Amino acid sequence: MRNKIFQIFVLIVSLHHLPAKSGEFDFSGYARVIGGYLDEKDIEYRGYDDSLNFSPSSLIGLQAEYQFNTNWSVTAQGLFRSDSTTVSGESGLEWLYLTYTPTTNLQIKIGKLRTPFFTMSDFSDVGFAYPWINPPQQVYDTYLFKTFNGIDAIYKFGSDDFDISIEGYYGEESGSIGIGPFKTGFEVDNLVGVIGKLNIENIEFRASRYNGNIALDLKSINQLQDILENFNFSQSAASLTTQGSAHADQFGVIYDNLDYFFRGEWVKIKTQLDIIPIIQSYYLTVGYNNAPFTYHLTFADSDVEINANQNEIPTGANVELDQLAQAYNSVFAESAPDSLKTWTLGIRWDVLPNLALKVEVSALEGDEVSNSFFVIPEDVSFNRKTNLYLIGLDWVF
Amino acid sequence: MMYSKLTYVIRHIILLCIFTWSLLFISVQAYADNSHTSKVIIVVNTANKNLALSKQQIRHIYMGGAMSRQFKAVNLPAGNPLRIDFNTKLVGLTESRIQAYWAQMRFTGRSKPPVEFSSTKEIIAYLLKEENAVAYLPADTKIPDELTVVTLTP
Repeated sequence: MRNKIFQIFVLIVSLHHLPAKSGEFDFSGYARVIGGYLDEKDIEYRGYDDSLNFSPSSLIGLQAEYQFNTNWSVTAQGLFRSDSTTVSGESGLEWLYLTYTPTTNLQIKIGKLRTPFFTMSDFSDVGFAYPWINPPQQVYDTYLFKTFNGIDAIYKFGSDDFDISIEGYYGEESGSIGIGPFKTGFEVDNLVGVIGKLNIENIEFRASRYNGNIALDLKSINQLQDILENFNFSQSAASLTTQGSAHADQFGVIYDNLDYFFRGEWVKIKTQLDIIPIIQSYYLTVGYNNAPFTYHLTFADSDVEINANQNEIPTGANVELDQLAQAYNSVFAESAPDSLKTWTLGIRWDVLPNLALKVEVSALEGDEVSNSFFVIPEDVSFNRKTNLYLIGLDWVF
Repeated sequence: MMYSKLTYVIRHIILLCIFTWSLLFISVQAYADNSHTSKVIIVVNTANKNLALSKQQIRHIYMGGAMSRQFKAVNLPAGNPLRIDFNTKLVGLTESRIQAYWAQMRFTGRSKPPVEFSSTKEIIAYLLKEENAVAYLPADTKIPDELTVVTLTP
């Protein structure tokens, strides 16, 4: 895999040395090499453990754009990860879309797009675009999917002192997502989202909401549901539904001046599926600019609320019912939530206008009864408190 | 065993980086204060000789806001003293924040950074042929009659 990454890297660099714009073609890209180390034996956190590991976040993205005329263009963007098995996603096509710009105020994109759920969702892999090594994961690594097929429209207008953009998108998607520690196939249709952005002076406010109908491919849970129906435990059966609507709300603020910056974001994700917990998370960042260095401190937290367990099965009556009750309870236990507090201190050094070196230390403190984003072997006791060290290079070209 | 020793070393390098960069920060401070104070004017290719724009509008034109599709922003290369002056006084952002912002815009297909030319001479040539092109230039530049110097409103 590393060899393949290297070959792609050489290809990109050679492409880049062609005239930057041959005809109306435009090639660009981004790359990152991130090394990480977790200060805890036998535990894994987002692919990092107690040995230096470069695989979880290192990647190369390549974009090609062809401009037909002033109104129409086509863009493709592919992503190659050094480790496709991690929770962060797989290598492949991230974007493939047509852009139509009928007026100076309106832009429409049609095709395969990244989901613009939260402030950094659609560019979370472009590390050069933000101060951290990885965006706060309580907000950005929840059970969300990264791309969809559909349409996205942005309308912008402004006055002497403000600038507003209203964005709407509609589409569908299928693939696989992680819920707690397990992965499942999913389908989403009627995905509808609205984003409002307001820029006044040095402040940007962003508020968004999205809705969609989801269906999870969990055959074992559906079988359990049928058994519960046969026993007439209809409430318990209904609580295991794998289909329903989902929605998310988001609010974010970014403030920048020459010396300081502040970023904050809050999100809440809720579904009609009892087996998926409600998640609420946020982060607050303060930073100091001292060109070419940026110093930042972030606090992030996530709170997860498990939906009420609708167990109607009497226990102690017979072995069969006891087993059924146990199977039912284990479904809720397995989707054990990710409650985690982190403090992150980091420095970004803009070595060149398109190259940044970053270092970061995070103190992680998870809820002791949940997974808290950690992978913990059954026979290991771990108090969910540890430190993560990251160092990396972000490049755009 | 070698590997865990390496990770131990890397961990200390990260902490050391944070420490030394924090020290560097004090020394760079003196350098940062030594900024240029030359005057900047804003020039547009427009028939409207009385065009007035606010600082916010110029910022939005240069940062991909609503007006950026109506006016075509023109830049000098990163590191040029006049560009640093313009970023500081009118955009109000550091060069690294601006570069990070354009990486975001480019790879999400939202908008593109201003076109760049290496000299004010090339910029004037571009302004003359491109309607609604906007550029910042040194205040003492001789501006051709076809171009308009924008009045800055508070």
